[in-house]
Amino acid sequence: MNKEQYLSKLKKMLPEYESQEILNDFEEHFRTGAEEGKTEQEIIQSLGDPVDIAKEYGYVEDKVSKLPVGNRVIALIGLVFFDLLIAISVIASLFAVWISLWAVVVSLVVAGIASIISIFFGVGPWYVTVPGGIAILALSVILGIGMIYVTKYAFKGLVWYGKLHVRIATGE
Amino acid sequence: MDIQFKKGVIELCVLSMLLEEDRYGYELASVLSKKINISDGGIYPVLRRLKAEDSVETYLSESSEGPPRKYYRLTTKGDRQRQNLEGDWQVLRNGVDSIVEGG
Repeated sequence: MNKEQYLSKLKKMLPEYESQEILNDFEEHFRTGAEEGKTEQEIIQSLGDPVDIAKEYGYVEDKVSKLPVGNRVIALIGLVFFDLLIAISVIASLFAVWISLWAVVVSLVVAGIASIISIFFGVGPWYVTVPGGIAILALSVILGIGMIYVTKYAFKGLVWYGKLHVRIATGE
Repeated sequence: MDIQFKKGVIELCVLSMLLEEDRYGYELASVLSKKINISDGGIYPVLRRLKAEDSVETYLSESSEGPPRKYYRLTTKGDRQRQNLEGDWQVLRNGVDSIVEGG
């Protein structure tokens, strides 16, 4: 283990908001040690195990990254099985619901516009078709806005789920 | 050694060393590891905790070689804490001595 490896190992166990300040202290320690003629190996030796240091700061090692490679492979295989058996059908159903809801939005827009322009064809009394059409359009806008949010979060969820595979595979 | 007990002892040592003069981390670590056989890395969590409790404060000062170093200075609060810990330590030491020597 060299200085960079030592520091990055320590950094991984610390929360981001205070890792930089703590690492600065250790950088300084390495620098001063070098000025006093110590080698990197001697300094690392006398600093002690980064896991113990992180514990003294009150942090424990991230459990996932501690998983040995064998366990990570098993976890990944399990996740892929879950994908094939359950996740794919759930995602497909939700996708179908999502498409249908967007179709409803589009239909409402068409219906609203049709209702308004029907006054040119004398289908019904204008005081029914015009306000009715506006109401339907308003409904479609509300539903459309709702669907934009749904789409955004669904996309985020999908990305998170995809990244989960990478996180498990790399053990990060 | 019990971890809490060890923390208290290291704190007492650090605060006492800072009573004489302001020091930087490496200095504190090398004295402590030489005299009471703890690993150098253990000093920094203690320093950070002491700083969080306002028992010490830090400032940067130029070093003869390379970039500035972070120095630690004892605060009034830190000195009070040092006195308390030293009192605890005396009581403990006397007690242990009297047991060990069969008083």
